Amino acid sequence: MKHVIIGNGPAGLVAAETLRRLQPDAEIALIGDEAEPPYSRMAIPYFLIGKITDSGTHLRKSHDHYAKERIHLIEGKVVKVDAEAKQVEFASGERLPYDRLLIASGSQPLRPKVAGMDLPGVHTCWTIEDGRAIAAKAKPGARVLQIGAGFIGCIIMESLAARGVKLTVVEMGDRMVPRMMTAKAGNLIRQWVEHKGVGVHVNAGVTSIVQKDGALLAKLSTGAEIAADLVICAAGVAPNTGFLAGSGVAIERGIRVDAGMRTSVADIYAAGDVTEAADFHSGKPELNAIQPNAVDQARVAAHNMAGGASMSGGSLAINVLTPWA
Amino acid sequence: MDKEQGGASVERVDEAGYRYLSLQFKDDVLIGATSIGWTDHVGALRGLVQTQAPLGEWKARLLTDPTQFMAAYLGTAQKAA
Repeated sequence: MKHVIIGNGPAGLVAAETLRRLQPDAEIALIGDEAEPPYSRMAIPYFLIGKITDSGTHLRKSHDHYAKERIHLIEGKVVKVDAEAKQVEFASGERLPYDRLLIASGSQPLRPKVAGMDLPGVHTCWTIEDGRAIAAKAKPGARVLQIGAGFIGCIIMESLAARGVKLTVVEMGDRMVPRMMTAKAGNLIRQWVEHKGVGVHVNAGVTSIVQKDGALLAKLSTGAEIAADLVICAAGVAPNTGFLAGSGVAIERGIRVDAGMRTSVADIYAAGDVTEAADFHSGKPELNAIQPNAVDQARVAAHNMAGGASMSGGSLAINVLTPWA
Repeated sequence: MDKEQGGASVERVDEAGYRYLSLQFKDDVLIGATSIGWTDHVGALRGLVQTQAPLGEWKARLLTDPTQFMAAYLGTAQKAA
């Protein structure tokens, strides 16, 4: 049996390790598109704060873990899934056959379609490479503009504040964390971060970014202008499904899966942030892109890829954001 | 300040301490929660939601004081044991 897993984040890795326990003789290939061993994006803020080095983000610490587990790590970008031939195709043109395929490709950050978003000094905070670039520029006293004050944005904001930067946050919604928080709760968070010295603009979007006098100048929809040494875009994420065009895998906002994490195509499973799985309470498909759901789904998918009959109890929308001192 | 909305939710706000807690109920179970600042024992909130434990008398207590969710978690677990 040859298992191929696209995506080497927590879901992909847990699925690979679960498959190894269930099928000692199976071939397992784990594909990632970054030049890093499997790591946790959720650890990047701790890297930015300086609590850990970049190797501290790695999901498994021992250097020979993957060799011992006989999990074949492949660095490459998958551009196509050929479900009929049961092969995945890389950007290089090479193809890799599978018997069972798990898609655990996660999410990708969204960048507003705004002039200047591609300028040097404008970063997403999504990969460890992003983290390194931000750490190099976010020195104490640096002026940092963060676009987006959603949940992920607040986590990034905490790490930036800890670095001693002069931080301003711009949020299109009428409050901070608008998708998760009530008006009262979102405004309470705003009062708290303002108390900590963070500038907050709500009901505001960035309309353009230009270079001026050796810095970046962002214009807001409110007419305000903000000068910054560094701009960080935390304007949301979307499931990473582009490479599945033409595969036949059913996708709405994310990949539709049943309770066994099976997609609409035989022998193709999906787990983690890329899925739109049944919600714990409603049973309706929801994007609940958080790590506990991802690893639960990965275990279910792996059991079924190995011939089992496992079912997910549904994804829970639960998160913890710890206020900083 | 506690505010019950339709008998199915409760909200507590501590503006001076930047703390906020809301709980949502359906019938006799907790189905959702949002907490800012009251972050000790948040695993108990997840436990109450995920196990769908019948709250019994604890629902009324939580509607009066939502910060008692840890006690409710222990109380319902002991009752189930």
